[in-house]
Amino acid sequence: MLPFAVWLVWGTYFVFLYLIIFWLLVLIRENRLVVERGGLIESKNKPSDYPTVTVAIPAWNEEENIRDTIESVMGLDYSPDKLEIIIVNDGSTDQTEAMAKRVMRQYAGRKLRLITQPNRGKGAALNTALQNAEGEFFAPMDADSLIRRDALRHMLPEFEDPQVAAVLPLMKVWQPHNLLQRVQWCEYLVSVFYKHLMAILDCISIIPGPFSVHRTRILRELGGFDEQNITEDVEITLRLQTHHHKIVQNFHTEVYTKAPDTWRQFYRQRNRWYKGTFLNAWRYRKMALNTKYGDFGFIQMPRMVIEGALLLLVLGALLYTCLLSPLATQLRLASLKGVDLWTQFAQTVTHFSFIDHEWPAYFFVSVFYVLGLVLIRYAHKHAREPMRKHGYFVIPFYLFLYWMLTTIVYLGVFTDLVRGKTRKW
Amino acid sequence: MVVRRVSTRIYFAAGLLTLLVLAAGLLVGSFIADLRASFLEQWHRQQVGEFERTERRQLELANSRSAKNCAVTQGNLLGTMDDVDTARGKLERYRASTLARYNSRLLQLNREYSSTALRYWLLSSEISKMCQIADPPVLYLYSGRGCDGCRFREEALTFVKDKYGQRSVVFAVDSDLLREEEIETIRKSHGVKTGPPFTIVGSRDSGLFRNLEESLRRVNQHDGPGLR
Repeated sequence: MLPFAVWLVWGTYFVFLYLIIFWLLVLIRENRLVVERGGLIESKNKPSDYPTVTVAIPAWNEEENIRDTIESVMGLDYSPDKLEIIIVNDGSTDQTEAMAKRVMRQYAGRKLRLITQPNRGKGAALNTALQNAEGEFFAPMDADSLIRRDALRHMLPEFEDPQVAAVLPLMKVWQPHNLLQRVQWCEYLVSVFYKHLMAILDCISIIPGPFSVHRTRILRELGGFDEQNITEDVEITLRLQTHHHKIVQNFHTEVYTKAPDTWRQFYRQRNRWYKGTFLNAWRYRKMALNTKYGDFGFIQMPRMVIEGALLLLVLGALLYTCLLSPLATQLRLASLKGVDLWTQFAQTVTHFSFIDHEWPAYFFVSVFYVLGLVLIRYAHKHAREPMRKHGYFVIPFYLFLYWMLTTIVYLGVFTDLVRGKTRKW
Repeated sequence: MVVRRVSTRIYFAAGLLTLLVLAAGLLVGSFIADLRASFLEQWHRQQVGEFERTERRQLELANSRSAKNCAVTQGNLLGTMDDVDTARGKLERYRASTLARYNSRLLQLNREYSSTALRYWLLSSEISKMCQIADPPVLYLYSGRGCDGCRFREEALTFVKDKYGQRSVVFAVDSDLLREEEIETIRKSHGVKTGPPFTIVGSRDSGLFRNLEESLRRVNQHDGPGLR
């Protein structure tokens, strides 16, 4: 009889294996992969027919990044009279406002506005911009992100399908320089590729902050962003899904975001994301396993609710079976026969035998990682990035260790939830 | 408004494929388990064969000892010598074929060789006493760790070989094999506390030779039944 912890590890393994196989089947079945679709989608409209777009830049203590972000938006290859930019300074205590004003002076004559308000959170800042927006389309832009010049020209044509309410860009990490950022670079590509697969089944569960484009009318109909929410982007996505709006992942243009480069920053960011995702999934739990919401209710909602808990359980079970249990055995033996470290070591090494190993376990894990590698390969291919770009070593780190880091964040999330701790930004 | 649907076929197909992975893994496990069982069975048969042969030899030895037949006893000794040669050959061949310093196969061959060498040493000690033979079988327990006197072993072994030529037989046994009870028994019976010692038939105070001079002195002063 296997111990409970082992059952737990393998049970969780098969859940994740099932999910990988599921999404690969979606990939195989759907014959509308971007690369096979015949290249870029070009708008049929002439520049004079371009719709008006409002880019909203909510900023809180972003004096270091705000200049680059504004300049990035101003550099968009788009008709200047159809492009409105609203910067919302959400009660910054640093020089964000002064810096924004300085940059605005360089672009006198452009439709560029700065609104300053007391600190009320990102959702409130976005709502301020939404209330003042004149554009037919509304694009929130995180103040630590940069976009390519052709972003709107590639994203707006997706709205020619009247069902589409929001379009996501291909999001990448801006110039990763250390291991943590490089791994996030890989993670973002995989995440975007997953979103592409999710979009095939209308299952996208998050519209990220950096330059996703919405129909302004739909956002207003839904009542704008939830100002009390720590992840207003997840909440608005779930609200769009509740109202059966279509969300599309675009692969033709890129948005760059500055990923955390220290563990502390990473932890804070992910803690907010995961906590927000969990809380919002719980809030909209009525969609889970509800046929009215199709695949979103069957595959996405359960995943959002239980993913963190599963990761925590599997990490705990692995620690118990691979570390704590053997350690306890060794300590018990040592108490019986005395401690001889050399003998302990020699016995561990000399007892290695290929025939004594759990080959089914190796087989299962190999299948999992091979399929994971296939997904990573596809993700890079779709993002038009070589796998070697930031070093091949990033891939094994991402595959084998990164999930442990995120699981530690989940541990913090659940601790915070028990203690009732939340953050606004 | 999006028309929602549940992709039932994909859910089932994914479930089926996941079950196939599970089944394939279990088949691999079953195949490996069969291999393991046949390997262990073969190993067991080989061990039983070797044990029975040793048992027969011990029986013959006991008979010849009771009959005080030195010729027969020495014949048995030659048989055991073949075992030592076979075990050493296997060990040396494996050592030459692998870069591994430690693995289970190496450990097992080493133990097999040590066990055979000890058996031979004990047997030859018995014969030395019974048949009043002057050839000294020398047991050399060496260690891979904390081996203060190891640098003298070559000189001491050369000395023994030069002095007694073909009449002396040196058994080098890895004393790191702590789980071998025979080694532990011999260490205790000859008062060996640290290594590397030379243990010579009839001597109970062989112990550790701290330096070459001492080792030579001890070998020269040895007046047990094995030396004259």
